[in-house]
Amino acid sequence: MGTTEAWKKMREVCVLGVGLHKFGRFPDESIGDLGREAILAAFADAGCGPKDIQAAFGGRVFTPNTTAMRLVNEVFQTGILIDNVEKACATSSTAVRLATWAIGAGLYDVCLCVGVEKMERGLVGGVPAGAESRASYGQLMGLGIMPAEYALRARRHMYEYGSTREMFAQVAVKSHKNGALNPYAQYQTPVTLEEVLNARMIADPLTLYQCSPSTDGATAVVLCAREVAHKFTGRPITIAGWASGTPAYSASGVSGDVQEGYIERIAREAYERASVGPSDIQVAQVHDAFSAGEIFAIEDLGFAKPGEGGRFVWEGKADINGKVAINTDGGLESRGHPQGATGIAMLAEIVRQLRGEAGLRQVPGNPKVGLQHNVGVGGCNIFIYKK
Amino acid sequence: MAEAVTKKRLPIRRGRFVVPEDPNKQPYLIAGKCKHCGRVFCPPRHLCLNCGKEMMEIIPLSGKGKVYSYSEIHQQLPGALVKTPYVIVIVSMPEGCQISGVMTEKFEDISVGADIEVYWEKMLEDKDGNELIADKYRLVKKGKK
Ligand SMILES: [Zn+2]
Repeated sequence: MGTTEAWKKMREVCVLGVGLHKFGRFPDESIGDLGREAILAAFADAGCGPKDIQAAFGGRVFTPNTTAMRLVNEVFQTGILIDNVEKACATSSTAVRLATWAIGAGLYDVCLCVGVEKMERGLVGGVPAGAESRASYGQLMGLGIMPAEYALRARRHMYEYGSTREMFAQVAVKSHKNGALNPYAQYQTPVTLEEVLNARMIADPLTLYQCSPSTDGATAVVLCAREVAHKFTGRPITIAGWASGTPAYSASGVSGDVQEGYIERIAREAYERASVGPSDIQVAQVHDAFSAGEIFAIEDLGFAKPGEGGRFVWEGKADINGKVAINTDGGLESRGHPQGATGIAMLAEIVRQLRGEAGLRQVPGNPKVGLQHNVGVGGCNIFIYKK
Repeated sequence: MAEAVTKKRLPIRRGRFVVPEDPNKQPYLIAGKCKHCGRVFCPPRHLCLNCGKEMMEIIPLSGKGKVYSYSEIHQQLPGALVKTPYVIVIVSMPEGCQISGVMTEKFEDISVGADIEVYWEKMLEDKDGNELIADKYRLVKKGKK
């Protein structure tokens, strides 16, 4: 939580510029190639360059060692502090939070954050060849697989609230429709509800289109203190509130309950710091590693009551012209999920939406407040942005 | 003399269940129970997350519980011994904890809240010919106590 006084004393921090390397599969490009393109694009968008950057934070999930330094040094080598960060799928949003703290505390005026990934095809978390003797019980018994974690929660949601397969599938229909409007997305082809439902089953009730793919990509962002933003040509978007945390042990004692309440608690902190509530959010990027995740997030973030997230999507309330436009760039399922780069991709989409630069997928009505929800195995980061 | 060496049943991984030396006794799942506050943890852990005390006692679980949730898996996890399609189940145990495991029933026959029980299956043989066993789950048949 931190002390309230310290939070109040922080300087206002804003996003000055964002940059992406297209998401997809790029066997001929190194992580340096991917990162360089994202950093140069962020510099161009921010109207700044290497000499302006006073510290950098970034990372990768798979073989992460000193990734941040390698990426930054692809573009410049000025001797600044470069911290490597790893927090599973929430890696690059964690880099952003560290930079936001450092700038907010007055230690630096301008920071660079970067995320990158190159992934193998197929399920994450299997036993590497030759490592059978070190495999865990969960690996040997096929329990430790990510789609199953979401599928098990989805099945429980169906039981408790009457959500349907069609509702989960509709998330993927919406994601792919939005992704088709995003030139940086890995998949830019719409799919029908029937196609989603009839696709290869991965973990019942989730089919192939409802699972985020393995993706290569890179993302970068330049952050600065609001008071120095005028020195640059970038169009600043304020980071109005943020919060982060991990699941707490639940006194009710069953492991399945640990997850419940955890995201809600972090969201409440973020809303408080930004002085807004769920009804103020016009656009949101939420962690739909699997389609059911978007429905859980809709409820956890307060856009719909518990149990009504499925209906919210089914009724079009999460569409670009809906009540809260969710995953307007295609989300993890369609834009792609290069794990270490995903957090900043979410940030970049909110920034483009609040600037009115989102082109064919622009949320109507001049949105002024956006939210990012990035969840990794190691914890959750929520950010609220204001124009 | 070599024939005198008896092959043993051993757990495929330690810490989740106990296999008695006596081959006539059934293996059993275990949990940690805090002697101070009574909270149960599965798998057992050293310190209690509820009260912070280091007073964990290992207790046997009955191995009978109810389905909390389930999913049929169709994508093979590389290196897993269990082959698709198979069902993952989260079991709510009456002792006050949950455990996830592999269930061997037709997917259509499973429902949330159904009574299920543990059984034991040989997964591998080690180089000495010992059987490495693991827990699996099945529906409790009606009329069977
Ligand atoms: Zn205790």
